[in-house]
Amino acid sequence: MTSWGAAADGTYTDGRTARRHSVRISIEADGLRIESGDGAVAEVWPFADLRLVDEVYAGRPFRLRRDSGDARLTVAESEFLDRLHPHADHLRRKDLRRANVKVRAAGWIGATVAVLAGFWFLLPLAAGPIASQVPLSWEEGLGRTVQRQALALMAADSRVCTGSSGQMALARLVQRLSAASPSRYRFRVTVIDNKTVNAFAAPGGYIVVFRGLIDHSAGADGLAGVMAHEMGHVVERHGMEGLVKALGLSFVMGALIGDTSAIAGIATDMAQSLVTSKFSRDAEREADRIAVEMLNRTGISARGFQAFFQTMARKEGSGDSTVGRYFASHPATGGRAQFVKDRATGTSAAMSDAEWQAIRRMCSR
Amino acid sequence: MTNGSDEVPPAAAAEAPVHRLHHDGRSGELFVIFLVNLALSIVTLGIYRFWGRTRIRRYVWSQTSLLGEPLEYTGRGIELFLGFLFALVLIYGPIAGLFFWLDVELPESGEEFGGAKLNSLIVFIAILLLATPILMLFYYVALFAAYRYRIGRTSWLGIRGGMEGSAWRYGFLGLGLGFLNVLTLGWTKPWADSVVFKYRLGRTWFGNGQFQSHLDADGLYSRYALAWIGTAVAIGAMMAGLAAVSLNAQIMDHHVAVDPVRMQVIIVAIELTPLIVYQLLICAYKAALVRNIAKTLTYGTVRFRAEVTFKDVFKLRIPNFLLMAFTLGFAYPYVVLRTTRFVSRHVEFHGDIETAAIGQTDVGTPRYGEGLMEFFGIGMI
Repeated sequence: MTSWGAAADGTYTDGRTARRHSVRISIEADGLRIESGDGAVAEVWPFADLRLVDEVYAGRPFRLRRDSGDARLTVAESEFLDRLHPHADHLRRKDLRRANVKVRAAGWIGATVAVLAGFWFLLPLAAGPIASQVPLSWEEGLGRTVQRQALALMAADSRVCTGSSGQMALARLVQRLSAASPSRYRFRVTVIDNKTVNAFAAPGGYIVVFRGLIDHSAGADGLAGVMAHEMGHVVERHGMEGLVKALGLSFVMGALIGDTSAIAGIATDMAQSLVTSKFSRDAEREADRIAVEMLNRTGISARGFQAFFQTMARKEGSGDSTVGRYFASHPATGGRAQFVKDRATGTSAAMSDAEWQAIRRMCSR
Repeated sequence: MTNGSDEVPPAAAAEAPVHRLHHDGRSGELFVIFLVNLALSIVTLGIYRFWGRTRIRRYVWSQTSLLGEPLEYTGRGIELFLGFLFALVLIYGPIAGLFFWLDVELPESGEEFGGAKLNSLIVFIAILLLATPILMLFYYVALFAAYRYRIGRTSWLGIRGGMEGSAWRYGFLGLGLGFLNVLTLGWTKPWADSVVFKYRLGRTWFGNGQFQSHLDADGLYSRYALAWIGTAVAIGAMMAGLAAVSLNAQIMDHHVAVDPVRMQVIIVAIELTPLIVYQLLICAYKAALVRNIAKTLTYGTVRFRAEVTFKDVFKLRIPNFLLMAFTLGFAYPYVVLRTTRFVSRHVEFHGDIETAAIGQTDVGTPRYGEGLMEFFGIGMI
């Protein structure tokens, strides 16, 4: 089949001035011939050199250019493009005249939903491996920033407790736990004067404990259990995983809503989501398991840890508002006491009574 | 002969041909482009959006025509992407680095938390005092660079647009005028707007011809005063309203249980009043500004008109905002087309457009696109 000799009318500009030339275009053996009646334009554009300027939609003219240069050719009769296709197959890609808008829209909506669903399932799976690739120094830097921002957020109603003998006692407890279960982290614990029963672990070993938790921790052994639990979160990088998830989500949201300035806010958002979001139930179970292991290795009795969970279960039942969100997503608190009881082997005390009293007095001025 | 010979006789003015832009975009077609961009942006963690934005511009430009000849957008996605990377490394990076450094250098929270709190407050205020003018400068630099890129990547009949002038000079101009605006509680804004638009428009070229702008603040002040005073009254009303609510709550507290959700709704509604009043009244100012910009603009013998009214601007802006807000951005293609149709409906070209006399431009075009704009998140297309 040949379409040599097929012809149409067009408008040509040479790229040097905006002057429009009415031209006759025709398909020749060596390319697309462009000629004006007055002889001012007489060119042949080789087929391989032809480019469509824009996508061509049904019922509208199409525009051609050469591979380089500012000359343009507009053709109103879009059927002529069909005659060009056999000679310049590469033009088909931008020819959308026969594309069905509804079908394409449906297809791309489907693709978008599939991509979102993929992210929804893959992000939690990928977060762990990605988090484990983050160098320790980054993790510590992030953790320090998160901790500082969290403290700044709460600075209005909760100062940092500075009782020095209490701090030393707490540091000795953490030292004892981490020495028995070596990890790459250095743990730094800050106690704040807030009556909520709560604690959180930022990445890199930065742990924040609320005074309310010390008051309700059922003795020094209970506190040791909670500290080991938070250290478990750090060692298992649950905080970093949360950050990776938040980062991935903010990218997706940015793409969805199109708010590109969000990039600037990502760092602060990450910190905030880490502080406010809860770890998953699996993460809590894992931290409990590590906590019991740590207690067992040091020989500290887990009975206090177990008692702590029982107290919390009672408080939860009575709707006590001082029980912070610490327990909101945790596995049913009663079940956790049983979990600890089934695995505990230690019998010794976490610290001396004098040390425990020093920790309890940390927040009194 | 009449003695008003230097005035254009009405008959002659009527004879001058009037041309309008014609826009032929269809929301369905643009919606497909929007969806493709959405899906690919998510897959590429946002990087595709530079190519996506390019596709949207190419569509909008190509569906807009003058004298039956469509405009052409010649920008490329990679240019936007590289511009973004440059801005990230050269400007955003150092600023973020500075903040990170300050964060690290602040005293550790510990024994002297009270002292640390004081220090961080001082540092915070210092950063604010330092950062605000720098950000404002960059904002105007970004605005100029983005405008220059778009003009330079727009062509019609194979002839390109161009832009001369310095983005930094424009940045300092904007910064100075903004500072003045703060000092005068906003009363220099109409004049400042006219200076800024005149600067940009007067440096715009198409081919070998330059646009001329004689824009001044003529007639802008009355509309602006209306918006300013109206907003001030609304702020006063808001203060009074909030005081009344809080007083009411204190009195009622011990007697009646107030629904906290309803209370919140009332408070938010009161707080939003000045913003709504301002957005309504400023439409009249914006309409006058557009009219003046068009009226004082010339290109060779071609003159411009854009006789938009308060109602026109109101009917463009308010539905655009509501459409975007209530569809979580999915109405974007429709909003873009509403806006381009608004432009093609109102902008008139008066006089003969002598295409044969317009030569190719020799104003250089920027190699990379508007990267800095990315960090301010403004501009629709």
